[in-house]
Amino acid sequence: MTALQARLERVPGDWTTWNALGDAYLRQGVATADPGYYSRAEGAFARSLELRPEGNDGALTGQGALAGSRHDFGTALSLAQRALDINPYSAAALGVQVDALVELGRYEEAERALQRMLDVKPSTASLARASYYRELHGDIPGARLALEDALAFASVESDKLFALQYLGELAFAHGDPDAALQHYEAGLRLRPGDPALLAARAEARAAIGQVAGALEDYEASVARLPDPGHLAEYATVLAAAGRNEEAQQQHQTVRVVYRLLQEGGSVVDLELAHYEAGLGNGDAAVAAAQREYDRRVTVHTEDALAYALHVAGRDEEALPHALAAERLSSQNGAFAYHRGLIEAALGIPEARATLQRAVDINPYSVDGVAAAAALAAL
Amino acid sequence: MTRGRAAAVVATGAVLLLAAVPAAPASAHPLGNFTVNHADHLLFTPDAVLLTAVVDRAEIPTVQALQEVAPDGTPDADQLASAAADQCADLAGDLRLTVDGAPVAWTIRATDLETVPGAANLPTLRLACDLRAEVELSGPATVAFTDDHLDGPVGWREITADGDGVRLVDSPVPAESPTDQLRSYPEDLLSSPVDVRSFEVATEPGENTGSGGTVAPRSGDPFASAMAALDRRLQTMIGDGDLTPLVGGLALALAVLLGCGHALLPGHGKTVMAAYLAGRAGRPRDAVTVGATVTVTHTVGVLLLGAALSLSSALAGDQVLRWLGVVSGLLVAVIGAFMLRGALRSRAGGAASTDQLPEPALAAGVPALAGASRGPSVVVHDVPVPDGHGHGHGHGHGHGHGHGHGHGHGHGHGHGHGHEHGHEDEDGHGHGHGRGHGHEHSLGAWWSGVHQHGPGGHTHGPGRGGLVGMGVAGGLVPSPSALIVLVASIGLGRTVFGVLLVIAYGLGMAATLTAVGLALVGLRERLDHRLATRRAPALLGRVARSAPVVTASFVLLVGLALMARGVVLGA
Repeated sequence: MTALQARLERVPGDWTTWNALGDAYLRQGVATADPGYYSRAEGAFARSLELRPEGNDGALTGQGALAGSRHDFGTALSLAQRALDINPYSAAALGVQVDALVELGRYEEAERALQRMLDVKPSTASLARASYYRELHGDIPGARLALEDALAFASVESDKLFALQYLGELAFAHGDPDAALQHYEAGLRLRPGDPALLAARAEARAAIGQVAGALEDYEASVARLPDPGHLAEYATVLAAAGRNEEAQQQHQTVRVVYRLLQEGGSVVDLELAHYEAGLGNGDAAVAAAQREYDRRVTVHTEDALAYALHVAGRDEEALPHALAAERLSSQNGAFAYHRGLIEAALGIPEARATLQRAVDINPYSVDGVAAAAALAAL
Repeated sequence: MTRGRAAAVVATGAVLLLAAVPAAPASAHPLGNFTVNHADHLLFTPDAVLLTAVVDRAEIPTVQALQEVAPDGTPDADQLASAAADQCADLAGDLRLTVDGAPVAWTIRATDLETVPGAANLPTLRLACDLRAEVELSGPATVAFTDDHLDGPVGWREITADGDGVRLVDSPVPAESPTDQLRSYPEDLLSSPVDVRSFEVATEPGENTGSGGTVAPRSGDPFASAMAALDRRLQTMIGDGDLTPLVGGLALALAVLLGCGHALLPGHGKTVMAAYLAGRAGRPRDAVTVGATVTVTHTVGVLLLGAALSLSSALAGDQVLRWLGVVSGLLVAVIGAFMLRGALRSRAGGAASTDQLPEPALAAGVPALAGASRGPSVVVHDVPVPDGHGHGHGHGHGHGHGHGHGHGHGHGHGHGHGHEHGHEDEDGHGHGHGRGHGHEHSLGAWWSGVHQHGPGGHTHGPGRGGLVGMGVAGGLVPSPSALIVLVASIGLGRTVFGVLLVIAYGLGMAATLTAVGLALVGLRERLDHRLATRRAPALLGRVARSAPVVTASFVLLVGLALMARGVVLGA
């Protein structure tokens, strides 16, 4: 990076090096979670486009990645497509395109783009997306294989951490917290104190009853990086341990974070919908879920809307959405749980089987435990 | 809420979500809403170190901190004051100062904690602590400082140090805060966010005047590394933002210099050229011819290759260079072969040049025999020739016949030989390969080749064709540094400038090669002259006779080696 910066001091007109610098800043931003790098990355790509507005696929791809990180998937997709018009073989642009298509619910197109990406450049990035795609479609063993390949392909530390984290989460989401913990431990050995891994480990520990360890991990994680999802989980575990005041403080922080993110131009309605529904605020949840649903229809937005409507007591409206959420047969414990709740509320006998499915997928997660409780209550 | 992998991947890493760039411009913390930023300013005096430490919490850490400071809402003055005292005490515990290895304790002089409005109507917290440590800096000392406070959260961390009555020797940290003590953060795209948590500096009594320090890289072979440094300089100048006439002129001068320098480095067939010129009795004019040919060939080669590389991304530059090297070697080998043929022929006995031989030339064999006498003929010989070389040139490069008149052109491989005719002296041309035509030249013979004789001047000396051939061979392989200069200029949109630089480079090369050639020619002529005026032992005569063959073989071998190298190693 210093070499790139020095080069640009001597030759400020070198647009390719501006792109390379932007990419380096993005990578560094992901690695250190230091937001100073993101604003610099954005500036670098903008400068590159000023210098060379035509044929500059590198800058367009970088801007697409940044738009994706703000959850502005429509913009990310159009930027990626413009980059691909210039350079159809750019693996980075294909990656942005795949992510955007998946998040916009255009799964068949995503599959084609993903296949192109894998053909152009098999790498940790493309294999990780392949794994996610398979998981979405319920092929869990295939997803695991792809992630293991991604790990084997990984040469940089951040790629290895990425692969280990998702291997762990895949394992946990399908009922194997011990395997998950092993992956997280491996990752934390590479980079101790990584906030995402700490929070993931905390979730797994809480699930197997190591509450004290979980709370420690959550505390360390949110001190470094106050991710609202992690803060909410932390709050839940605190409350379960009887530390209600602290739990309230975490909830307060969550609201501040969402507010700041929205002020900053990020779209967080999906996350907000989940959060409000978890707290039982049905109307707020539905409003957020509906806003996101209007923007894009994916299995996730269907599920969020279904659950929000359920919490708001509108189960008849909720049911079609819950069914739509499972149309890819994702084997997602949360989807199954939400659907089971809705069916149970409507008195549909299928509820029993659905809730059982949720428990079978992951008995350890919060949803799985709740599903078991709901099943017992039937 | 379960955090399915979906959600995490969706965010392309949850991290990105939080660290996303704000679409709206203004924010109290352009670095991010969850950062905790630190600034430590140290002032060294002869009897104390005064530290002003500032901790600036962005909106989210402020929310978390305020939950303790003021659990019931907005903090009042008392709560802030007591929190300030607590936080400064924590901070002091996390600071380490050592003077010559001995730790020094801090005392807290003043504390202040205030809320500053930030984004989304949320407050941020700014803590300022004034600390003092008692030290003894009236003599030279080494001071080390570390700040470990709140090292988990991400943020800007700067340290600045200045002296009043104490001088900091080569301080690694600046004397003034680039952010005005965290009040305004610079958005310099060409620098990474600052993260300095410790530093060490030598101090001595005196006045402090700024900081800085650079490291100069070292390298091996001085000439080559000097050339490499000049190369980089030129490449830098091409890309210079402001191409003023002065800079352009300097760049051109530098290119000429580089051309000279690169011609001195191994390559460009200087050895072979030297052998050729020396063996073929080159004259000053010939040295210039070779030099000019090398330049023209090299310049044209660089321009063509540079244009091709710029236009075609499929062209593999290194492969082209490799095959050019092979062709160049082939050319040299052919020249060597002809030289050898000529040398062997004339050694085998005069019949060498039977083609196109002018009458006088036919006498080659005769003079050879007749030339057994040394001495007088030599002298005689010398007279008409101002530069006094005998003739003979024996190494012809083969074209055997050397004479012909016309020097030069003529055969394909040029090497003309034309030795004119006209010389009164017997040898006429024997050249061939000099085995001295008898005359004395014995030693002179194999050096020389020029028969100046005659006003008409045929010089015969290495025929112009031969010279051109050597020049082409020498200039055929473009110098990579010239190529880079051209391609870089094209890439940066300064094609004309690049072409001019390449031409200047070629001129530099020509100058060196011509100078080398002239030096060799001059050397040989002087040697010739000396030898021509003395009797040389018979041994030298034998050596002289075999010399052309040796030289020719040498040229041939070099050519073959160049070919082999290109074919084998470049693969």
